[in-house]
Amino acid sequence: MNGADVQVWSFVTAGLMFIVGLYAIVFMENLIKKVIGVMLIGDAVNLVLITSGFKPGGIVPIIGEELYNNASGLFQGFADQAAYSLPFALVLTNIVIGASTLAVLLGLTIKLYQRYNSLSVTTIFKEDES
Amino acid sequence: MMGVLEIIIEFVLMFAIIAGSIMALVQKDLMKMVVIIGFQGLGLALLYQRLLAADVAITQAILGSALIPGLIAITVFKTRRSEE
Amino acid sequence: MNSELIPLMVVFPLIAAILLNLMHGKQRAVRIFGTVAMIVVLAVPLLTAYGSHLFGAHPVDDALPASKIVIPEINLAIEYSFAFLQKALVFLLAVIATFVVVSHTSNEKRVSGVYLSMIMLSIAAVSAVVMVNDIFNMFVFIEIATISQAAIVIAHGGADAYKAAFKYLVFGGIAGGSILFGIALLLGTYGVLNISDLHQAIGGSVGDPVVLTAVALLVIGWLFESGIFPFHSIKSNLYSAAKPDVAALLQTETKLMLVAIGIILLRLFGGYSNMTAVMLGLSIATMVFGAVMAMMQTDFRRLLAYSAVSQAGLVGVGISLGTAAGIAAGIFHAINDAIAMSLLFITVYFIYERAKTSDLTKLGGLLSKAPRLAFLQIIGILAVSGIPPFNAYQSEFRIIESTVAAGYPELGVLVILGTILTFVALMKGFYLTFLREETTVMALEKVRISNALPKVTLAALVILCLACIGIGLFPMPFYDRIADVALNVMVGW
Repeated sequence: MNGADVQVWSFVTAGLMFIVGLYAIVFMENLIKKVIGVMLIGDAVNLVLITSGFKPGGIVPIIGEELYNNASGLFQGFADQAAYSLPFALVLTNIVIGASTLAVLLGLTIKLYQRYNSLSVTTIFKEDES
Repeated sequence: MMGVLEIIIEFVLMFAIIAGSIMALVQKDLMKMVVIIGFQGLGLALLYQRLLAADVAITQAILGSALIPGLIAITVFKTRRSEE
Repeated sequence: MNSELIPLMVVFPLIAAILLNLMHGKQRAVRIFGTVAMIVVLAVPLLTAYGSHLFGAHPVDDALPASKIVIPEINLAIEYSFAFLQKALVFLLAVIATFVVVSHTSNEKRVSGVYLSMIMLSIAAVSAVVMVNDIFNMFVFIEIATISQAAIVIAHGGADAYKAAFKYLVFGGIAGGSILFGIALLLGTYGVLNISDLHQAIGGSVGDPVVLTAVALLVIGWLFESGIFPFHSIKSNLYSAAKPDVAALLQTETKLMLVAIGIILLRLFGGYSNMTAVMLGLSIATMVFGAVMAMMQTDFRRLLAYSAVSQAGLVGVGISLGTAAGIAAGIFHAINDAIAMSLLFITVYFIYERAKTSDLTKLGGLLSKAPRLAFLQIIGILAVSGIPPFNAYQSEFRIIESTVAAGYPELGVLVILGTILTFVALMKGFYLTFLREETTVMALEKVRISNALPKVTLAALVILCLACIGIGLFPMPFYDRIADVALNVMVGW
C-alpha cells in the first residue's frame, strides 16, 4: 500500500458515489432523497478533481509564514513537492454552485409538499407524462 | 513517507463516505438521514484534507457538515419526518 | 468603440442582478433601475469593439494574442473573445430579454425585483457562455444559467412551474456533474483549461480512452443544455410551464447555448466522427419527434414548446454536420428561429394574458376580434416553417443544401419532412385559435381580446416581424459573416 493506491481508490470512491447519486435520482421515491442524489453527484465530481490534483507524498500547496521566511529564490522545491492546486480552485467554485442548487431544490421541495401534501414522486408527477 | 497506519485513515474515510451515503439513502426516518449526511460531509472534508486540499477541506467542512444538513433539516421540519 | 467594454457584458448584468435583488420591494426604484439596466444591456454589445479580454493572470508579452500562449503556467487567465457572432447572439438575447423586462414593468402593478434580478442573471450567464474561451468558466456559467432559468420559471408560480423547475434542476445537476467530470478528465490529461490551448494540445486526434470518456460526458451536457433527444421533454415542460414571454427568452437562451457549446465541442473534438455522428442522429430524432409531439398537443403553449424543441433539433443537425457550410447554416438558423419562435411565443403570451388560458379546445373565433394579432402570428408561423420571403427559409434551405453537400441527401428529406410537420402543427394551433367559430367557453367567460394590443407587445411584435422579413430579404451580409466564423471552427481538423 502506498500513496498511489490512495489515488486509485479515491477515484473508485468517487465513481461509486456518482453511481449511488444516480441511483438515488432515478429510483428513490422521496423528493428529498432525490435532492441528496444530486448533492452526491456534485461531491463525486469534486472528489475526482481533488484526487487529480493530489500528489502522493506531496505537501499542501500553501506557502506558510515559516516556509516564506526560509525560502530562497523561486520556491523551486516547494513547486516540486506541492499538490497541483488549480483543481482545488475549481472545486471551491463547484461546492458553492452545488450548495445554491441544493438550496433552490429544497425550497421547491417545500413548495411541492405544500401543494400535494406528499413527498412521493409517483403522487406528484403522476399526471405529468408525455 | 507515510506509514501504513497513516494510509489506513484514507481507506477508512473512503469506506465511511460510501457507507454513509448508502445508509443515508436507505433511512426511513429523515432526521436520521440528515445526521448521517452531516457525518458523511465531514468525512468528505477529512478526506480532502488527507488529499492535500486544505483550503477546500475547510469550505467542505462548513458546508457539508453544517450548512447543507441544516438546510435539509429545515426542509424535513417543514414537510414530513418519515417516508410514506 | 472600445474592446475594454467586453467584460461589461457579463459584469454589468451581474451587478444589476445584485442591485435589483436588494431593491426588491421598492417599486419605483426597481422600475427605473430595471429600465435603465436594460438600456445599458442593449447598448453595450453595440458599443463594444471586436477583440478579446483576459480576466485574471495576464500573458507575459502583451503584444502576443492570448490564444497563442500554450504554456499552462502562464495562461491561467479566463479569456473572453468577442467577434461578429458573439455580437449578434448577445444583442439578440438582449432584445428578447428587454421585451420580457419591459412587459413585466409596464403590465404588472407590483414589479418584483427578484424576478428581474434572475432575468439579469440569466442574461449574464448566457452572454458569458457565448463569449467564453475557457472550458471551466463555461461550466460555471452553464450552471448559473440553469439555476436562473429555473428561478424565472418558478416566479410564474403554480404546481406545473414547480414540477418543471424541479425536474430541470435535478437533470441539470446530472448534466452539470457530467460536464465538470469531462472537464476534470481533460484537465488531468492536458493540464490546460483554455479552449484554444486545449485545441492545440489535442492536436487533431482523439484516441485516448480517457479523452473519449470526456467527450461522451461533455456531449451529455450539450444534449441537456440544448434539449436534444433524451432531455427534450424536460425542456418542453419548462417552456410550457413558464409564462409564454419567459418561454420566448428561455428558448432563445437554449438556442444560444446550443450554438455556443456545440461550437466549443467542435473546436475541441470536431474531427472525431463518432461524436458528430451521435450528435447528428440525436438531433434528427429530436427534430422529427418534436414536430410529431407538437402535432398531438391540445395546448397552444405546449404545442409551441415542442415546436421550439423540434427547431432546436434542426439547428443541431446543421451544427453537428461538421462542415463549414453546415455550421454556418446551423448558426444562421439558430438566430432566425430564435427570432421567429419568439414572435410566436409573444403572440400566445398576449392571448394567454387576456384569455387566461391557452387550451386549444377552449379558444376560438379570435380572428374577428384581433385581426392584427392574427396577421402577426401568421407571419411568425410562415417564418418558422421556412416559407420563402421570411428568414428561416434562408437558413433551412442552406441546412438542406449542406446536408446534400455533406453526402446525406436522406437527411435533407427528413429536414423537409420535419418542416412540413412543424407547419401543420402550427397551422392547427392557428386554425383553432383564430379561424374557427367562437367556442361557448370563450363566449361565456367574456374574454376581452381586442385589436388594441398594448404598446410594448405591439412594438416587440413589429420589431421581430421586421427582423424576420429583413433577414429573409437580405440574408447575404449577415450570412457571409457567419460563414466566416464557421470556416474557423474546424481549423486544425
